[in-house]
Amino acid sequence: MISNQKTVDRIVEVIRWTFLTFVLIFALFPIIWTFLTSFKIELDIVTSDLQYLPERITFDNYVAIWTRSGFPTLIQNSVATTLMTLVICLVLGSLAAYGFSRYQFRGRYSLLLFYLVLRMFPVVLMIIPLFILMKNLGLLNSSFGLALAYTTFLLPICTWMMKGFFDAIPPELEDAARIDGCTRLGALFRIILPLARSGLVATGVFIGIAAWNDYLFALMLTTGVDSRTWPVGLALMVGEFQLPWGALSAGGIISIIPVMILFGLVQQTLVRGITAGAVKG
Amino acid sequence: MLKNKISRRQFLQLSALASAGLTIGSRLSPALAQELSGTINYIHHFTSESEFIGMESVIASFQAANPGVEIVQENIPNADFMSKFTAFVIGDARPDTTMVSSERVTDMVAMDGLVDLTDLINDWELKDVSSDLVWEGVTVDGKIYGVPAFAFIPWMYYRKDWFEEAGIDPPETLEDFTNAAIALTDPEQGRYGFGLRGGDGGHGLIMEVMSSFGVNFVEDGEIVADRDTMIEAIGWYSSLVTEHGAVPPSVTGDSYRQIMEGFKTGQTAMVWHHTGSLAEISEALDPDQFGTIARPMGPMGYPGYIGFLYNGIMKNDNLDASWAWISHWGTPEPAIEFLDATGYFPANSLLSDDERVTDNPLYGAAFDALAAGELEPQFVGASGWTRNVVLPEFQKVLIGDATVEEAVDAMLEGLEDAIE
Repeated sequence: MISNQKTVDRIVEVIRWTFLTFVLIFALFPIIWTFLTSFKIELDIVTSDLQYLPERITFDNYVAIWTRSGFPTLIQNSVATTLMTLVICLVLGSLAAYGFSRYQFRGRYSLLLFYLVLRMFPVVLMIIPLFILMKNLGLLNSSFGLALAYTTFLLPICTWMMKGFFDAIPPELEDAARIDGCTRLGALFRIILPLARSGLVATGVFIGIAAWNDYLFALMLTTGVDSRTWPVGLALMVGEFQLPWGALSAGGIISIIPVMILFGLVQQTLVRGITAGAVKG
Repeated sequence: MLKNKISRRQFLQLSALASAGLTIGSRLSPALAQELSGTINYIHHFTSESEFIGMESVIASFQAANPGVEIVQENIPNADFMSKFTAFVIGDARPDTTMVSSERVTDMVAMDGLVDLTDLINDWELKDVSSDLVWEGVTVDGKIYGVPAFAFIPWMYYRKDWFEEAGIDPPETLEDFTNAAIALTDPEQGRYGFGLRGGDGGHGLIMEVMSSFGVNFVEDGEIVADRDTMIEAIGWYSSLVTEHGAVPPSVTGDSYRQIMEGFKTGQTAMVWHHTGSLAEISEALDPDQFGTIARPMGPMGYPGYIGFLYNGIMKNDNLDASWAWISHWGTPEPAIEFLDATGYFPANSLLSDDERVTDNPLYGAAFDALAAGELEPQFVGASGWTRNVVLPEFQKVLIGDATVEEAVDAMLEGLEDAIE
């Protein structure tokens, strides 16, 4: 009986590890392939004989990306836009989420549902009205304008996620603080936000990745290299009749480095945040 | 639709006339050039490095002749170009000038996105160096909306070495083409006779095949397409896949990138495209490996639409400087700069006797094709119909989900919806 159970446990363990290995390979293979391609010369990329490892290694693709695509400026614009989006969303989203979490007011439920409905709209439907609005406000071609545009579709998700984290914190903690003379806002900043730190990080990472990767809004609301972001710059390297696979692969690898660094720094807090509150609604 | 074909002799004659005209009035007079000032915004869909090199040369030559005018360019990926163009028009944030392709001009004019240039062009000294066919591609309801810059002439690339190895000649008729495709197919060696574009972008070739069988689609807002002729055309084209297996198995997913990579890496013997891709093919294959030839003639015409690229004006602010910029593209210097950088064929005949064109044997096919080709059919809704109905229905035939007759009926039904 015990040996049967051990055998069953072993089989389950093998199946689990096999499945996880498969998922890992499925997820990592494209990144590894892109990484290897970024070090190949063009002749070794477009060939009928498949080459996994580069036979001839070159760094020319990285040099090309750095010098010919306006890479430093594009990355700078992406960083600026993403940071602005993060600040706006986290500040406004946290305040809104706190209100939804702690206050009962007329229309509360409808407003929350409205936020969800906003998320269901295809973003592409907003492009033209947003373009007109940004143009009239003089915000076309600016990182701030782009950050505001991103806020339109990221703020609802930020609010919903933070509300979930705030709901998980007992209101008695704030009550105790308020008895000691703390204001509502003071309780938010001194008690609630520190406790919801992991939730803030998790939400921030989602918002940051979404803002960093956006292509459509960045293409439509910016015109020149002074304001364009990295995803647009990368897409513009794809020619009508020419496709520099090596340079594009190098660009792809470079573009995920900041995301990987960010994830490496916050992964423990991120995982804690994801499992702590948001997904439990 | 007006069919106006130019022979090589006519080209050379026109170029002789134009060369004389060039010395007189191809540029603005120095006095007038100095009067032009301001910033001209230009939107386009050049994205590759070679195109940018060419464009920067053109900008430099223009600004050298017009030092008071600054050109600010914005490139937009071709797939997103109309989205942004629409945003500019609706948002009343128009740039001064824009690139215009012959397949888009109808939709651009329909949304009032282009300025009528008829009077300016009729007074232009270089108007006559371009044929009526060229001007037709940018004329809507009798009004001209652009200055021609380049021509994308449909032709065929073929593996010269494979044909020599098999002892067969490059095809001149569709029957020859079918036989060659079958003869050069050897799946065990990973070789296929034809790289059929059954994926994204393949709608254009389907339309070209139907036109070569004599199908006219819409005239004066009415559908005139003959069902039986469409069935014959689609039947032939799809038989390359369904009957002869002379194309790679990935055909329904093969877009431009796949057919070109397939040809460059020795998977296919023939591929249909146009002169714009010559630079890419030339980089990958040696001159003794590939050749260019006009596509084999269909029963009623050439299976290829000539595409012209023009430049137009979107608003009347600073019209003189905008006109100077777009008309500069129609002069010989920018055409040579672009030909050198990209291999793009000039749209007018000024360079047809230039040794950079005549000495390149690969361009011989372009002259043959130019003599036989036509413009793409223009009617509002054409773009959506071909992409969203014609191509998917054709793909159903390729995978056996529909018969040719069913697909053609669905295409005709979709055409009725498109023109309503």
